[in-house]
Amino acid sequence: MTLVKLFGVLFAVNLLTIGGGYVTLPLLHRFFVEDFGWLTSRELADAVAVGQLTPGPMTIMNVFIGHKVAGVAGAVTATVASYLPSVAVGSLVARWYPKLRHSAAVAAVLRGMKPAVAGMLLAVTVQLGAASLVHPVALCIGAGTFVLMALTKLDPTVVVVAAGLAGAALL
Amino acid sequence: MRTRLAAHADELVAAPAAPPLSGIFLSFLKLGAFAFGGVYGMLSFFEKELVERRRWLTSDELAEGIVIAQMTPGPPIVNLGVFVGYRLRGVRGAFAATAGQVLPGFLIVLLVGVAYARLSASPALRGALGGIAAAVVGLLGSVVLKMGRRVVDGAPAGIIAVASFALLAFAHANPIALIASSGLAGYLLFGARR
Repeated sequence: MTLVKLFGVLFAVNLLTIGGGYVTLPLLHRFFVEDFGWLTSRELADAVAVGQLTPGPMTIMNVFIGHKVAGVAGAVTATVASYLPSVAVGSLVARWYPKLRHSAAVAAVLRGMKPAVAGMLLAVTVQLGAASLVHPVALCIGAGTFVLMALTKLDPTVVVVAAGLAGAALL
Repeated sequence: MRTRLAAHADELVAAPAAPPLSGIFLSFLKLGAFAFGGVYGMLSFFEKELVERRRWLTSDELAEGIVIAQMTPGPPIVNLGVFVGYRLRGVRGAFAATAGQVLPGFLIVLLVGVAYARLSASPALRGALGGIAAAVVGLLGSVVLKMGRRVVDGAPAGIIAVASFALLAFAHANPIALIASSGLAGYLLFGARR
């Protein structure tokens, strides 16, 4: 039952969001943290960190979530559920692209969805911040990362590694 | 001998540029193993492997693929692989590209997951994870800032963004319903006039 639920949520989330990784976070937080209680906010933040540190798309963090929830079977289920929508929809779109590219309706729908995603992502940032930025050192790391990432073109992987080292030494 | 040669020549004429599925899988396995930094960080790798080395598609086609990849559900970098794989070998090519691209990360994350379950009691690891979790919040903040600047292109988009934030943060609204209704709002607001 857990595997079915895991598959259903990840399939739906990846089918309905455009942009991958970060964009799926508000939905993952709602279902896995708030509704099912399978993860804490901190564990979801850890999953994001793992996704950021490993090669491949950030959604590879879903493997971590699947493993946490249901072991290796969960990890495999999460992987299939996360990438099946891409293959299915991507194949259809690759086939019909010449027609879709000029569709004003598709462009308008996307133009409405994008700001909604930005607003929802801010809400989740606040939620994760409330769970992670409790210690003054953590607050400094969070603020420092924000400034660095907003103002420079530094690779996020470098910043995440540095934050891990700082955390190990100071937290 | 002659018939074999003739058959070989026929094959060359009939299927000039369809690479084997294993070739697609291996190319994307390589891309997946070195894919740090999201779709933009990866573009130079894709260009080098798919356009210059394999000559599976032109630079223009790759650019077209990137546009599609960002408009379709799922992570853009995986979608780009699906687009390339589909063009080369149809649905099976799309599966081969995705499997190759995802496999290295899958194995690494699985190992990390096992280690995490065993080691999460260690104080140093807890500190490191605490630092990373804090950095993730800052990282997300910068993503919101950049995304917001790009997509909030006027008052209607601003209202959609603020309303989505408030409904999710304070009213516990269903995020799937929020995405669907903002798509509908976009259709009504931006799609009616041309």
